[in-house]
Amino acid sequence: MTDHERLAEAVARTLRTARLPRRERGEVERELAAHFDDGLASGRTAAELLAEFGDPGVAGALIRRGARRRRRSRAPLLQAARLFTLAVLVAYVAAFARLHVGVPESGRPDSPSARRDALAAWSGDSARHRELETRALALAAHGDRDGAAGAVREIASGPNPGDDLAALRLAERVGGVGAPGVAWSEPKARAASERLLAAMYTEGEAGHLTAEGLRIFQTWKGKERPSVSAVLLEPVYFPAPASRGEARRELDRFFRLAADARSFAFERELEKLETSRICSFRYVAIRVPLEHLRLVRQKSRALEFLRRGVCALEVRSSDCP
Amino acid sequence: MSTGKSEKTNPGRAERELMRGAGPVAVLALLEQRGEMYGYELVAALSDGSSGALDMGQATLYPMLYNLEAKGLARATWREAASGRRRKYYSLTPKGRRRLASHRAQWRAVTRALTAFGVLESSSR
Repeated sequence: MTDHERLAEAVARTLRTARLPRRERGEVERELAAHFDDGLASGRTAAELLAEFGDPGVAGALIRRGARRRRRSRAPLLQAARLFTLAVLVAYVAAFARLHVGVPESGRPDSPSARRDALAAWSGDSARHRELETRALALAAHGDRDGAAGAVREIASGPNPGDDLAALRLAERVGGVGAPGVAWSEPKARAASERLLAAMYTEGEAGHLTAEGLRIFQTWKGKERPSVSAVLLEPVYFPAPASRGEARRELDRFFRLAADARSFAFERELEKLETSRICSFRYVAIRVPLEHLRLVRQKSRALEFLRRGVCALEVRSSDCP
Repeated sequence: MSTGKSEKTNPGRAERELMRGAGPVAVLALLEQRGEMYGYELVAALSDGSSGALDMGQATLYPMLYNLEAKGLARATWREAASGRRRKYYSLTPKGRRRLASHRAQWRAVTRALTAFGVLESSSR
């Protein structure tokens, strides 16, 4: 083996241990080759140069470490991008775990039918509604407005906010003026909202939204079985959902606004919430009660309008409230 | 160039630690004095200039230079020498100059302290 071959072998061994990327490998190889060439040119023998150089294995390990540090310093943007990606990944995993580890206060329904049950209060007892609706329409067709109004009130007497909405809808169909006393009940809506929050959130004021809660919301939107990609994207869409206490306070604000039948502040605020993607995702848990409130206010207004109109036609307008 | 092998027996831990601190400072000082130097030139200068005391294993020099580059204390450029050989030349950056000044002050303080304790002989004696 010639001197040059022995020196080239030492460089190759160093580079094997250093395990550098191709571009850096070439650069270090040229530098070490130049080092030995300079050594030979200064009159030293290959044996002396190799002895002074030290163990190529150790040299390779040290060069690997030094080159890595240099690489990092040369690419601060790349490093920042890596750190950012890592931070995003950690945040994603944390948000995913938070959604999926938490168990709702009222238990894990884990079946589409159980989720539909959690929403049943908002649609009321539909079989009972259909039966009373048939009766009310038949009575109204025969001119028995009091009988029809009785059937409407019977629907409204149900315990759920869904009963109020069904009654308002039916009152509108049979002629709202024939169903005095039909209105929406805030206590019913509040109680059902609490049950819904318990089905979507973990326990306590600081309770957090669960994946089960999102499944309930998706069921309400008509998607009972979300795709895998949709489930994987949930932490992105819902990175910081409101805590249970925050959701309740926001709902209370809307209840206060909804209680004022003459103002449109409720509708304005609801539109603001729905058009802001951040707010809409943050307060996803109260979307069902809010949609209910919007509908019952709309129906109540329509009925009130009808009632005033008919009153003005049948009686003297000054007697109408 | 002296290899310093005769004077240098098996270096102890304290000596290695001293080298770790003194080596980069010596390289920075050499680069300041000579403007720019290539790897073998630095090895030879360190060995000769320190009578072998800073005669580090040559394999240590290159990672040290990469570290200085990584810290922004030195910069490297490939250039063809008068002999026609391509070499990588290292020079000091402004940050390297500032760091060297700060190291100098620290080493002076250490030297003063060691002199006061009689570890080093005072040059005024």
